[in-house]
Amino acid sequence: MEIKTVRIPTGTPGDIHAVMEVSDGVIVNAEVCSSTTPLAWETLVLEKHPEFAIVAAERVCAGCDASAGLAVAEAIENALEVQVPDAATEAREALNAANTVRSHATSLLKSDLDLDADALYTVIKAAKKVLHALGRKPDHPPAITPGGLELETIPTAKVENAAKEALETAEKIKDDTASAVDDLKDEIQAEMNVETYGEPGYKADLTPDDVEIVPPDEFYRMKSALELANNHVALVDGNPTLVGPQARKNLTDHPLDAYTAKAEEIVESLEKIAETSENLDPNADVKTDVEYTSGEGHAAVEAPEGTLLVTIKLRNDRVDEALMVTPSNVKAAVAGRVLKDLEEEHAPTVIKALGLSGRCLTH
Amino acid sequence: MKIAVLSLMACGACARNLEEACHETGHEIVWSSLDGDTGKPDADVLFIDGAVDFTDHETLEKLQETTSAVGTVVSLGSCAATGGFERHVIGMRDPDRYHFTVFPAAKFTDTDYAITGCPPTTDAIAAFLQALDERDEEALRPYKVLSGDYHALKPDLPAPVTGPELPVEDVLLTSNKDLCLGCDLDVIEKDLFCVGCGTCSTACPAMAIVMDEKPVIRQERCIRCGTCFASCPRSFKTTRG
Repeated sequence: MEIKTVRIPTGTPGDIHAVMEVSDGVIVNAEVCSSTTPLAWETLVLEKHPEFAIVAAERVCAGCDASAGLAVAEAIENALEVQVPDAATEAREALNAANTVRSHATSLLKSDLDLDADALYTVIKAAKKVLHALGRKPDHPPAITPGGLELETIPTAKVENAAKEALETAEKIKDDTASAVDDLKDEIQAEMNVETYGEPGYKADLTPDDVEIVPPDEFYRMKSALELANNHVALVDGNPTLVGPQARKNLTDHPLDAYTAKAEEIVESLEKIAETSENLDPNADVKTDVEYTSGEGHAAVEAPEGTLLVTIKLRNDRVDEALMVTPSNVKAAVAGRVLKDLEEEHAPTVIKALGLSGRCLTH
Repeated sequence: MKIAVLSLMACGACARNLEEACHETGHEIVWSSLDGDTGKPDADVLFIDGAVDFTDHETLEKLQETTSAVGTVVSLGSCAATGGFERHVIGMRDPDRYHFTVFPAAKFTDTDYAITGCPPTTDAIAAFLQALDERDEEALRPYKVLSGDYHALKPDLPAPVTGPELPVEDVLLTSNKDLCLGCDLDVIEKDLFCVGCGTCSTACPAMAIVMDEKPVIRQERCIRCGTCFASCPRSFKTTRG
């Protein structure tokens, strides 16, 4: 038996490590952690204006930026009992779907699958058009604000066209990905016996009561992991749980099905964007006035990489307490289990497929 | 051009946009720390993505090793160029609100150019790549100024500079230390350079500037990225004769 620590390049910012007990080339026990310097979003937003909490959340990790901003905005609205116009909720759902398309396509580009890069960049371009139209910028969309979206009109035609034009390419990506995953599965024998959480859609019903946040010195058992880990992990209903596209699509036979699920979600998200924009009135009201008082609220959204939960306590126009549980916080708890019984050489491919980001983990 | 990417304290948006820009312009990324590449890159240009935490010795070693191997070094995005949003980082969830260990890359290594933005758009990066490809010195000049090499550039100018008199790097790191972590729109305003054109407001990635004849910063949304300063047509203006 040998203990090995391997840095896993995931294509995302931050440093992910797998600490593995290996016997005859097979992993018998593993823990996955991050050594990334914590951003400490929960602390840096204290005493700041709630709007800053949104802007800062979008800069935690580029993969789920719009979704993080939306989760914070909705937590603030729930704390202040603000009713967002229906059109804003619909537009936000499209924005979240565009974030999913861009994030998944980028993830597929970074994967170990041999896929058509031009096709993936075509859907990325479409997603950026939607993010720009509804979020006012293609990255870290600044239109997200408590009470709705900072938009004068909803550019529905632009959004609808962008989504529809990319659909055919997305279907091709779905087929190509399914085929490439099947090929790679022949090389990598793996099983996943894990709990899952997540449903298709935008909002999730995860609450702070469902989640237990465990600090690294209480979660990790292996010495090397304890020395490296800067991250908390999150248990759902007391268990290590898989969130994200695989959980939402219920495709959990093999870790590489994460890519199959992502490709399917690209198509579904584009369809959702097209359908939503078709039904939206460009001149509908998308912002309600917000009066900053005191209160506490939480919100969970299905971000590209999994369920993202935010709770926030406000004291007038300042943040008094904040908590963010990211998809990586939840997936880190289950990642070690996914590696169990796997051949050691395949650990990087499998961890990359799980969609962990060191920066997201230490947010 | 063969391109290398060193990712430090960053959210990853700048590196992602660089990859998209390279795909569009046909440039090849031959080395990326995000994909697990280590050691000295065999590349023409190194893009540094993210800020530097000088208490992280591994980061400093990586920075030294990679920049020494490449002819042209570019700070990509506001975190690398000014410290940007990363200068809000607290680290270890310490209750201290300020983290004075995070700085732009130019503080620790010689950089040739800097592209501000949070993140710089794919188009902005593509435009820079084109200017670099063509060695278009006029187009590259703003990127050079922002790299912190302001004094070195000054004697080569055909006319006196009417922008901020302090070296840009010092301005970015010293002015309004408690409030401002990179943005120096106030420098332009205070020195009466502002003509109210609104370019800063349009450029701001956080929609933190509204125009009321002159720009008004919504401090609650400002991330101190410095994009307003970099985009201002008056910030690098020179006078003739």
